[in-house]
Amino acid sequence: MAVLHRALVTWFLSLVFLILLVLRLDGRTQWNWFIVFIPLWLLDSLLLLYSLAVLVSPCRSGVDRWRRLSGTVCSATAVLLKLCFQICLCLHLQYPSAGLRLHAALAPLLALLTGATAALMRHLVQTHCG
Amino acid sequence: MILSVKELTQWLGLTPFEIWLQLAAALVFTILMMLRDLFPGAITCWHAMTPFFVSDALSAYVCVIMLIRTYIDGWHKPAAMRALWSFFVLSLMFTFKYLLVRKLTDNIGFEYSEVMAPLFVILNMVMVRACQL
Repeated sequence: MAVLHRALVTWFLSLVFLILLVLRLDGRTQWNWFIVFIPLWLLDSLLLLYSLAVLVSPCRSGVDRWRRLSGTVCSATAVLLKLCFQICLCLHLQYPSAGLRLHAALAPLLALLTGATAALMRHLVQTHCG
Repeated sequence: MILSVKELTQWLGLTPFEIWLQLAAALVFTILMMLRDLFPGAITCWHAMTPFFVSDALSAYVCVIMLIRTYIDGWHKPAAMRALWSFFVLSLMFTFKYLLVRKLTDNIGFEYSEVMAPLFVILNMVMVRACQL
C-alpha cells in the first residue's frame, strides 16, 4: 500500500472512532463499549495483517531478513499491547462491577508508551549523534 | 507499524522530537492517572493533564526556535508556513485539553461533541495534508 492509502485508512478509522466516542459520551446512544471501539479493532487487525505481509515478502539478504524480523516483532508486540489495553478499558467501562480497576487497565498502555518513547529516543540519538 | 517515523513527520508536519515530547507527556500522564486511581483525591485532573500542557509549551518553544533559524537562513515562505501550521495545531490541541479538563472538573455546559470540536478540525486539516503526500 502507498503512504497515501495507509494515511487515509488511519485517518478514516480515527474519524469514525471519534464520532462513535462522542455519541456514546454524550449519551445519545447506549451502545456497548466494545462496539464503540470497532474502528480501532479494525485498525489493529490491519496493522497485524500489514506486519505479516511485510514479514513474508521476499528479502535480498540475511541482514535485511533479520532487521525486518526484529521490526515486525516490535510492531506486533506494540499492537498486541494496544489490543490488550483496549480490551481492559472496554471491560472497565462496560462492566464496572467486575472489579477491573483503572490502574490495572492502564498497565498495558504504560508498557506500550515506555517502549515507544525509548524506541523513538534511540532513533533520535542514532539520527543526530550516530 | 503502518507508518514509519519519516512518513509520520511528513504527514503530520511534526519533527521526531515533537512526537517524542508528546509520547513522553502521554507516558507521564498514564503514570499520574494510575496514581490517581490508587490514591483517590491526591491528584486532580489539572495535575494529571500538566504533562500535556508542559509538552505543548515545549513544542511551541521548539517551533519558535525553528521559525527564527529557518527565517535567518533565508527560507522565508517555508518558515512562515511551518510556523502557521504548528501554532494552529498547538492552539487547537491546547483548546481541546483545556475544555476537557474544565468539563471533567467544573462540568461546564459544553457537551463532549463541542469539547472535541478542535480535534475534528485537526482531523480535517490532517486529511488535506494526507492528500498532499
